[in-house]
Amino acid sequence: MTNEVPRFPFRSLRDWIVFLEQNDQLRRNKKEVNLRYDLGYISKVTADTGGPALIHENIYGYPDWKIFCDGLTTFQRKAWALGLPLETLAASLAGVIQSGNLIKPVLVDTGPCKEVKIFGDNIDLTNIPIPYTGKYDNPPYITAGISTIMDLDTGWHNIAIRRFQLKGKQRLCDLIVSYQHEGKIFAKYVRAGKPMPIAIVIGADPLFYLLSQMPAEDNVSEWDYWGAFTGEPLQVVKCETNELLVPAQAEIVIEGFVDPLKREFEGPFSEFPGYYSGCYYLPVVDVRAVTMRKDAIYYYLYMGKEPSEGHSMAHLMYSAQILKQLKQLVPEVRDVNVLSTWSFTTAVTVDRRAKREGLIKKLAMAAKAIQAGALIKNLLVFDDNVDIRSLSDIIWSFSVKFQPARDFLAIPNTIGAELDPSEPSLGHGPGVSSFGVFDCTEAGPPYDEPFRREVALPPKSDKALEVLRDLGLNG
Amino acid sequence: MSSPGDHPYRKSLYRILENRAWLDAHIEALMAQYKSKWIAIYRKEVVASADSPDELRGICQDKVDMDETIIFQVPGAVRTPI
Ligand SMILES: Cc1cc2nc3c(=O)[nH]c(=O)nc-3n(C[C@H](O)[C@H](O)[C@H](O)COP(=O)(O)O)c2cc1C
Ligand SMILES: [Mn+2]
Repeated sequence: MTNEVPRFPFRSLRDWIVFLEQNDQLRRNKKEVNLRYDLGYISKVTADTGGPALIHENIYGYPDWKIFCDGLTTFQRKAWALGLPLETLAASLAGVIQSGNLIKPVLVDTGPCKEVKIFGDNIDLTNIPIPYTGKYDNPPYITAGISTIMDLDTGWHNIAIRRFQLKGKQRLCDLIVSYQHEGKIFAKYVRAGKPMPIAIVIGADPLFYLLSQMPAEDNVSEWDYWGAFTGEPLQVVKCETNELLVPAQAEIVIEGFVDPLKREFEGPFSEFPGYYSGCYYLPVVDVRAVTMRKDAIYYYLYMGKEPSEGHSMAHLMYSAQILKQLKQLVPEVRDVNVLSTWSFTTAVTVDRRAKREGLIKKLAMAAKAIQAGALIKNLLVFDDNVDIRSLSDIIWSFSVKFQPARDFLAIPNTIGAELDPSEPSLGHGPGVSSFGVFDCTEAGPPYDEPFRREVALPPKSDKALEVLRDLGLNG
Repeated sequence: MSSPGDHPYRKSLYRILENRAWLDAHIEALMAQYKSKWIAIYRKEVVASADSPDELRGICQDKVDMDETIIFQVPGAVRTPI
């Protein structure tokens, strides 16, 4: 038996847990917690304070279960999960995303996710400990379920987390919205009048989770990026009741079908803008099989107002994909940083030497055309000498370079996010939004007057540096 | 993995699912009667309604088992996103 310390790549949630614990980034809670009342608040505080990952080991009513959460709430832990240096995380991530070195998963015969198999009427989803999140979500939602589906025509596998409300022992609702890939793919099944096979993965390695929050382009399977980061293919196994593939190392897999026509009343849920969603008539997952590890660990994600583990994953991965997709249309783009709410507010920089008339408008149109830009509402454009990872630089540039009457462009009646609480008051109901571009780039030369110039830093004299060193400050 | 189905938590979750199924089946009538109000659903019926969740809680928490009760604000409209 080897006692090897796991390192990147982490091939399972188990590897990740051992690694986090060895790096003092995981705490085990042995006090009893109630799924209905305790877990949401603990995760919220953990995310707010940059706390450690948690495992709850004493779940009221579920003596054999453990619940893992909050693994990916800090930049350091995200950098570890991606196998990239923390100091250059954004740039290194952009490099991998743009490299195009995708590797398809490899099919293996079996894996730990097949240790237990339950079928048909023997399935009771209430056997799985599903925590509540918001105070008025009832029944609770599976929040860390990675929906795995396949395009009807091409075999393209898409993976992304959806909210799944527990509706019965073998029934879940699935929030499918048209601008996301699940909506685009499900629409094909609806047109063909065919049920859509689905597999919901709960508990997987941290890279798989990050990829589930990355809005890749149409026909690109997010899990092909697993290999781009690790240099090896993700190992997958075939489902029991459909043709879908799922990670062999998963903790729990729920297999089922989504009927093309059936809809069921669902909601509300405490959603990512920090507001409740409305109520919906949603597609229904009829569950046919559950496979899992013998001692499966449940993965819980808090959802509500940022920060949360979900926002933390999505903001990093959206930034990298928006950059990749935007650059293909507008090569002058240099960097992208999602600032808030799954990209509702996003900062982008452009090469300040390449600016020309019309460039910002081209950028604006491109941002709404790319798959990753669906949720962008406020696009803040800066020159590439602005550090868009510094909120104070952003606000300063916005304050002194932006002129509301000259530099703001608003486009009414764009496709909305559905869950943005500011949408209904526009009068169209949710689903219709507007789009704004804030051009915070600097006016071009000539810099022929003192007031056109940014203040130069005071000289960095040897004496100044020496004094700072003596004071214990870095110059 | 065993997870005792007769545990109090599980029993109340089954009750919640029953209440929710009842809510889903009656949502249109509830919208006609209680639009924007907060209602408490216990043992498959509306046991109280109020203008706020706190007021509702005050009315019903001594009468019913809150672990088996759904507190719900009745929407004015329900969308079908797809
Ligand atoms: C906890 C959580 C719940 C989510 N629920 C949904 C959902 O119900 N529907 C949805 O479209 N996206 C949901 N998302 C966001 C998507 O997973 C995410 O935007 C993803 O990148 C979409 O991928 P796609 O472009 O392949 O559809 C959720 C994310 C998290 C973290
Ligand atoms: Mn996708």
